[in-house]
Parts: sequence; structure tokens; C-alpha cells
Amino acid sequence: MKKILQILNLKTYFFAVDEKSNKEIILKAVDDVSLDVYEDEILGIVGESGSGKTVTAQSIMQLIPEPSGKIVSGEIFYKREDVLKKHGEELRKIRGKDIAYIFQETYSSLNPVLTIEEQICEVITTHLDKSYDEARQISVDLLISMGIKDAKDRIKDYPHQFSGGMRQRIALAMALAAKPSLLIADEPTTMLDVTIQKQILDLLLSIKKNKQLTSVIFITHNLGLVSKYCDRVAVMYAGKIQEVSSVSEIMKTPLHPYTKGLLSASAFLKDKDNKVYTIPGNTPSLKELPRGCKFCNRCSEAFDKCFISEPDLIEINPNHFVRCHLYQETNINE
Amino acid sequence: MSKNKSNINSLFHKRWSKFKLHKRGFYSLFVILVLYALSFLLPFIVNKDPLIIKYNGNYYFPVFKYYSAATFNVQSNSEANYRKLKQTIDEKNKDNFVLMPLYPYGPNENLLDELNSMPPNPPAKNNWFGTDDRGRDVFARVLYGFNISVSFGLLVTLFSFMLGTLAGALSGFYGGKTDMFFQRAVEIWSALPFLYLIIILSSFITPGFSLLTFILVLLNWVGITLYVRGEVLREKAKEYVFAAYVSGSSKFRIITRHILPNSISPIVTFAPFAVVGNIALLVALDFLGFGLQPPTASWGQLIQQGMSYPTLDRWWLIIIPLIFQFITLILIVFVGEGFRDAFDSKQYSRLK
Repeated sequence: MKKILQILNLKTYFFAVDEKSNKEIILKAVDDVSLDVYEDEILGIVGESGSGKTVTAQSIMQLIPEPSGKIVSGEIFYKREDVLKKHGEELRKIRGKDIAYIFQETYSSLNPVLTIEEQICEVITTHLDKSYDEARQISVDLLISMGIKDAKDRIKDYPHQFSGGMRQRIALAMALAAKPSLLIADEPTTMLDVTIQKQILDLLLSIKKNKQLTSVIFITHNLGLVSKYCDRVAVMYAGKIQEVSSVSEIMKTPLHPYTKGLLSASAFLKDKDNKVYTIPGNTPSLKELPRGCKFCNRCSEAFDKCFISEPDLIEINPNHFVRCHLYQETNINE
Repeated sequence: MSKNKSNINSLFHKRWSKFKLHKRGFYSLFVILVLYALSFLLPFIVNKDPLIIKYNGNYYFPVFKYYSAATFNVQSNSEANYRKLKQTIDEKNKDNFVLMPLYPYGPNENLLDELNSMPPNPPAKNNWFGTDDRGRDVFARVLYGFNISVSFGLLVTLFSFMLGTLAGALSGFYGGKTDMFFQRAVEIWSALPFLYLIIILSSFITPGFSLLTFILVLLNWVGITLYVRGEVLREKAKEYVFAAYVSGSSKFRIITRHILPNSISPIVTFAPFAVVGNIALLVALDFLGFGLQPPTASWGQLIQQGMSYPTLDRWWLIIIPLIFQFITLILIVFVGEGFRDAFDSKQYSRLK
């Protein structure tokens, strides 16, 4: 399979000043992440809040607010070109044209003072060589294919006249307007209720099937959605990738204790007392991460070594990577 | 059809219809706009030059064109006194006629040879609001002064808001060092004692209308920057701005098309009050003698003439410009009040 996007050793740090000691501290929001996105797949990135999944996605688009945050090192290849080396005009040509992005917040991701038409046409006229009238026709067709049936009348409406689900459809139309090949969907359905969530994701799936998009990066904290819609999944924790595998394999044989925890915490899996399992403790603050494995102090299977050194991401089965001392046999034998 | 529908629903229309509900503000805006528009027609309403003269079979239009006095067989070095010309022509009652404006006195015209006593003269039948100390008609001067004051207030506000919005937007959008630089510059700039600065400047240049506007713009622009900066800081972190970034919009387009239209409320809300402030400032500067140079018709100069006399004998020179100023300013304040209420988002959510 061909890679459409290749993230190599990405490090995105945020810089803050500690209030107590008045020293500058570095928050490693994304710490040495390497990840491939193949053509014709939906890749899920799963993790709790603060695990670095959104920052990873924003790094691809260079949306990290400087000077508080910075992509310290790493390369992101999109079709053999390092997008992190692109700036200004070159970068604008990639944003929206090659890689599109949709946001979690349906209520604020559309400009309140512009009509839907103006916003979608802006994307089209920026990237494609179309007149405004052509762009309007494309927008109407696009909105209809997104499930807004009376698009011809409603295209002159303002965002506040649409419901949350409709807005996400519009945001999706806007993202697809310039015919990108990769879509990054950053928790696109978190703000929506479950029925709408299903509609939007089914829509996303059908868009991919119709070859309007080559690949999708789907960021979520819901493993249930991943199991249903994704082909592959990357589990992130504390800025690092803990496990990468195909969805079918991870559902059958999760390796990392964190993945196991996430799976058993999913609402559809209840234990014999009819209680939902929870992973003990909270997501650690990036300020005070444990020295060894980042998950060690919440892990039920942790042993001495976990508190001392951090494991590497190793390939256990073909295309199944995990970062856990349990599986690093060479290390245990030492 | 669909176009109308969307217009009703735009935020602008929401605010406009809310403004219309604010009766006092809405009618004040209407009145002030009509008066201001009419004030540009003053040369046809209040002027010493007739609209049309028919003299010996020819038509003349002195409002538009200068004719030497000899054209009408009048002995004078410059233009004929058309009021006298009208009298003589009316007496002879030939085919000739002179059509004077409604109020036949000009703002800068010296009436010394028509007045019976030394100017300033109190209100009389011919000169409704009397004359000033150089024998010029106060009614005409006050009306022309209205046009100048409002134009001045609007222009200073417009340009200083443009400059201030630009600075505020850049400062808020780029943040960091740019912001730091702009903010310190604004602080230093706003600490300048600017009345003194104008007084000093006026001592070696005599500012005309455009130069005075320019100077006041330079001194006035800082006020709005802080508000615009605040709005931009808030708006630029919203997701629609990110969405504009990720769809490949340029920074310029993001500022002008996405951020600024959403940061418009402080600009519109403050504008009428800024106009009020600038008009009052012009009157004050004129009163002190550092404003527009004579013979420009100005309220401040009239008040100064009235006040320079120890008693209140010249009351009409003080009262009349003050009444005009008061009415003008209060109308604009009402407009500002209406704008403020229309842009007040808190009222949207009031339960009834």
C-alpha cells in the first residue's frame, strides 16, 4: 500500500512558565510520534483528552500557535514532500487543496457574519480556477451530496440558522470543496448527539467510498466509533503512540494495558456486575510525567522496569506495534 | 426571493431592526442625516449670491459663477451687492428679475455698509440672529458652521478609526513582539498632552481644515486601537479563523474578511460618541483661537466673540451657537445610544 502521509519523529512542544518556581517548563504535547497514513484507509487516532492527538493533527497543518508552541523537530511527508518545510504561499496551496481539516466545534467553526455560500465559494475560488458562479453551482451540488436537500435556497443562509449536525455537514462540504485527498477530522462528532453522530460518520464513510477522498485521519476518544468506521488505529497516551494496529486485530488482541483499559471502558462492554470499567487515575499532567513508561502509575500490569525506563515502540506482529515492557522480551532477559 | 430572506437574517439586519426599535436613536439618525445632507445645499438656501438673474435678456447664475459688478451696471470693485441689485431691478419692474436664495445673506459677507449701527448687532428683521463683531450674519455663519463641524467630526472619526483599527488589528493579530511594540507606542502616544501640542503647532503653522483634520487624526487614533485589539485577540482564537487557515486563506484575507467583520461592534458603538467628542473639540479649539482659521464659519469663534465682551450684552453670539451645538451633539448622542443598544448582545438573551 502506498503511503499518503508519513509522520517521522514529530515533536511538538509547548512552552510555559511554572508559577511556583518561575522557571520555563517544556510540555511535550507530541513526543517523537511516527505514523503512516496509507492510501484508501481511515486511520483512527484514539486517546484521552490531553494525549496529543489534536496537536499531532494540528502539526500536520502547521496550526500550532507560536510562540507558546513549536514543532521542535520531525518531518511530515505528504506525497514525498515535507509539508513542515513549506511556508506562506506554498503552505496555503496544501491547506484545503491537498489536506483538509474539520473541527469539533460546530458552533464556532463557521464564520457568523458570512453566508454559507460565501464561505464555501471562498475555498473553491482560492484553490480551483473557477468563477464565482461556477463555484456557487459546485457548492450547491456539494451541499446536496452532504444531505442538505434544499441547498439551493439555504445556501444564502447564515450559520446560526442551521442546527449543529447541519453545520458539521456544511463544514464537511467546505472541507471537501477543493477536492482534497486527505481529510483530518478532529473529533467531528463529539459535540453532536448520538443519532446525528451516526449520520455524519456514515456520510464520511460514503464520501470515502465514493472516492471523493483518498484517506481520512479520524481523531476521537471513542473506541466504539473506531471499531465501526476505521481501518487502522493508533492509540496515543501522553504525547506518545502506544499501540498501532489494524482495527480488527486490536479489537481481538489488544496488547498494551492502556488499550485494554480503553476497550473495557467502552460503554458497550460491561463486566459481570454490570458496571463499566474505568482506568484508575487521571491523565497525567504534561508537567509531571513519570520517568519510565508514561502509563506506569495507572497500569495494573506494571512491574519494576516500567518505572525506570521507557519502552520502545516495537513490531510484535506484522503491522502491529506496541510500546510496552511486557512484550519487550530482550529487555526482560537482560 | 431567497436573497430577501437571507438579508432579514443577517446579523447586520438583526442589529439594524433592533436599532429601528430604539425610536429616539432612529429618528435622531434620520434628522441628523437629513440636516447634514441639506447643509450641503446651503449655498442655494442661505447665500448672498442669487440663484438666477435675468438682466437685459440674458440669464446669469451667480451661485455658480463670478460676474463682475459692471455686468449689471453697478459701481463696485468686486461683485455687485445682489440684494441692492434686486431692489433696484424690482423698482424698475422691467423684464429683468433676481431670484435670491431664501435667506439672502452669506456667511463670510461683511454687512458694514447696510447696518445702521456698529456691529455686532442683535437679532433683527433682516439678520435673524444678528451679526457678529465684523458685521457678518450670524444665522448664515451658524448654519455653515453646522456643516463644517459635522464634516470635521465625521472625517476625524473616520480617519482616526481607520488608523486605529488597522493598528489594533495588526497588534492583536500578530501578537507577541508586534503587539508589545504597538501597545507601548500607543501608551506613549496617548500620554502626549495634545491640547498643548496643538497650541504649539498652531503657533508656527496656521492649520486649514485638512491640516487640522490630519493633526487631530494623528492624536486621536489611539483610543480605538485597544478595543479593536481586544476584539481581534478574542476572534482570532475562534475556530472559524482556524477553519479559514486550513482552507488556505491568506492572512490578509483572514484579517479583512473573517476577523474584522466580527470585531466591528466597538468600532460602530464608539463612532457616534467619537464624532460628538471631535465636534466639541473643534468648538473648543476655535474658541481658544487654535482651530480653523478665519473667515471659516465656526461656532467656537462666535462664542469667543460673545465671551470677549465683559457683560453678557452680546448674548446672541453665545446662546445661538451653543443651542446649535447642543442640538447637534444630543442628536448624535441619541444615535450612539441606539447603536450601543443594538450591538448589545446581552439584550438578545433577556427573558420576557
